[in-house]
Amino acid sequence: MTTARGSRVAGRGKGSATVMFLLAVSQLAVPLSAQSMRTFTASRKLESAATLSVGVEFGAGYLTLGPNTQGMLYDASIRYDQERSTPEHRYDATMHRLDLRLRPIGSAGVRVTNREQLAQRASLTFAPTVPLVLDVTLGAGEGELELGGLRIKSAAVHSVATRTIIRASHPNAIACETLDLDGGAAEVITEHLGNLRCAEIRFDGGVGETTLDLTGRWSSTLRVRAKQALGNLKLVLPKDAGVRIVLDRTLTSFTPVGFVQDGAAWVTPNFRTAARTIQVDITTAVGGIEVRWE
Amino acid sequence: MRTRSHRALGALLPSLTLGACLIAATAAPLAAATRGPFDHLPIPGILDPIRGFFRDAPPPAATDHIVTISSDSRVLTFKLTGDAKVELALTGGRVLIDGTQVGRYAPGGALEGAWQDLLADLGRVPTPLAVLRARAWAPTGLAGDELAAAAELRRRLTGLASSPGSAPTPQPIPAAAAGGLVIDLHSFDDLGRLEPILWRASQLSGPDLRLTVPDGHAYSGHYSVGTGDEIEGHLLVLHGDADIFGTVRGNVVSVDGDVIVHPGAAVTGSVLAVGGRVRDEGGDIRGASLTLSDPETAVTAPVAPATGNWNSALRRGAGLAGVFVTLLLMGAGLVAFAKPQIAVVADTVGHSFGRSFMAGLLGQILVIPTFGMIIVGLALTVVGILLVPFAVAVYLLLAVVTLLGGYLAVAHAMGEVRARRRLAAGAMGVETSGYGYVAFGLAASMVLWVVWIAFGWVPVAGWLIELAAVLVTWILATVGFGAALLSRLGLKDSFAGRFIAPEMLTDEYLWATPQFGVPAVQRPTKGQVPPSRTPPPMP
Repeated sequence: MTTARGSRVAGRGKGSATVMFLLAVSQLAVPLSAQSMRTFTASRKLESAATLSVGVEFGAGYLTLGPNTQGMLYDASIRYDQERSTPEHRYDATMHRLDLRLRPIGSAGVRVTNREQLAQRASLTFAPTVPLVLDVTLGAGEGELELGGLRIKSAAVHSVATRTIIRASHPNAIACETLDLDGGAAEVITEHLGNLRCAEIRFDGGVGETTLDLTGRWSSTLRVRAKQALGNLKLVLPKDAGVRIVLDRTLTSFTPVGFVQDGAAWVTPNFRTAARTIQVDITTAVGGIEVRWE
Repeated sequence: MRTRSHRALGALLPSLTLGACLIAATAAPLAAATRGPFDHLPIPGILDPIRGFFRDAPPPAATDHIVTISSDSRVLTFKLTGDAKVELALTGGRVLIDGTQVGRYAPGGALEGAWQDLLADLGRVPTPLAVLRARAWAPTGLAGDELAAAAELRRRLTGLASSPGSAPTPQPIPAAAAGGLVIDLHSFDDLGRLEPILWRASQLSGPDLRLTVPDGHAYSGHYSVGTGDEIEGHLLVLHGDADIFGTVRGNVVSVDGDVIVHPGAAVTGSVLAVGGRVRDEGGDIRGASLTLSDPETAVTAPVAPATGNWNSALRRGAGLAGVFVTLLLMGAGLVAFAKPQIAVVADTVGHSFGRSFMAGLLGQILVIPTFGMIIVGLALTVVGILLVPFAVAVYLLLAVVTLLGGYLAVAHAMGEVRARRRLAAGAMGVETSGYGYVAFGLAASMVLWVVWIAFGWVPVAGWLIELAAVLVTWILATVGFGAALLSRLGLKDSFAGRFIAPEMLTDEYLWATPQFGVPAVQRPTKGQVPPSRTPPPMP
């Protein structure tokens, strides 16, 4: 017959044995491997195309885009996690249309691994001699787009929740029709957008910080329409340009440095005489507008 | 004095020496030739031993190869004919060939990267192909010691050869029966669908390897399209390179091999290499060049050594101990310098647990909007803008103090409850100081984390334990946060169950029957028999 004390001791012994067994098994177990990074590359030799239309969707990771010097129409390299995404590449040779996307497959589950190892990266380059119609959508992550050196006919960049740098270091060889920028909850930084020689630049921002740098080599008139729901909008303007700003703001601070009021608008004194002019329409809710002259 | 034998030996030695020199002088150039000196004689068999003596020894033939990757070493082993082997390793900054150090490398540097790429490549191809690729290995971008070490590795690798007859000869893959494996290579638009089918095909061998490529051809092993040859339709090559010298009118796909398009060659469609490269060496690829690498699992995620779980547990344990000690010190500070306040918050936890949780939940939801409103409100006024930095700092400080103080008060309450229960049970030597309460409560609140440290490695169960630990910690923090809010950081005891009417704070309170206040409510009413205070009579 087992006494109560005996039962307790036996139970304690079983418990200890169980704990020891589990501990032992825990140390012998092989960790599950969760690494599944792959690299996809796609390229095509330069061909005679009047215009190349490009659609890029990159859900998460770090994207770079710029011109190439290898004589390729396009050259893409995408490092991705095959448990989270799958690459898609489509090229319509008759329409000269390239679609490149990293499609989420949504079966990743819980992943606790080295963030750096799982970093998805994409590098896209395009021929500097072919006119481009770009449409880039960035999800969560970062993007660095060098549009200088490319022939941009028109471009649209949609940033959902990301930090995006759009740079035009060199003048566009052709005139650009429009540049559409769209930021959800994002930080959008632009540099020398004037080099794109666009007729119109549209920016529609949600929450975040935005820098619209309109400096660069361009002539005649540039029209800018900017909307920012919440956050700061910084305008970098060329000193020699005549600028007219029309503001529609609610809780937004604006320091009109270099401007004089002209009815509902703010204009620079040289607006009517300047060789090149910028007309800016800004709609903001909460935040601030900062102007810097360069 | 010389004997006769000595004189005979003295005459023989110069003769032997001269003969040996003549043989050596004759044999040396002969041995350097691939063909033996007597190969042209029409007397096979008799002179074979002599031929064998003078012929070059054939290079060692590799029969198998093994790639071994660990956290600090990358080893390539070729098993050779006759139980010999060659082992080339990069380990701990040293380059070893058969265990002998031949150079050094920088961990994480160019040589290690190139070696890692080679091993990743060789790990998925058959040995004959591995030998070919190892012999062709030519890392670039090296300098100094790494360049010299790479030269030693290359010298050893170029001496390898495949065992005779083992080279992957190209073989056409028979078409699959109806309902069998069909691989459509007309389009590469949907790689997510195509790649698993290709992978499945690459796993087949022997009589199981049967597949159909609509409007195309399939081969296993190295396959070449010769100069002037034209292939109509798509081309699929498994486990080998596709060497294109001629023309392929369609798409080309290789699995576990490269597609090499030589000068003068043409592919009218696109080219896809799965687990390989597209090497355009001057040919004409009119479509796209696509590659899809193997998963990096084998190389960049080496399986942790057996001690990994211990190390992980130790690291986590150290982290938990650090958190515990830090909170313990903060708790001791609170007990020492703000004992009434922490006691009020702890009593609020004890007496208004649910209310504290709800208040904490609401507080968490509102903490950021409130912060935003304060900042916006200040920003709307000119003077207020100046106060924004101060307000930010104060708000953050208050939030942290409320959260941490609340959590420590919960720990205090847990320790206090335990002490009361033990006292009620008649235990002796019960720790009744605030320090003891906080220490016990913190230890108790971290039990689940200790369990997680021990068993967090277990798939699924580990996540559940972690989830439970996070949840419990969050609940405790929420209750503490709410209690701190309700009690205004311990300055208000409305919810602490400490309310005593001022009229009760008299000397009569010590002996009189309560007529008002909480004790009066709990007074027995008529009809209820109060429990007897007289001990029962002895039996």
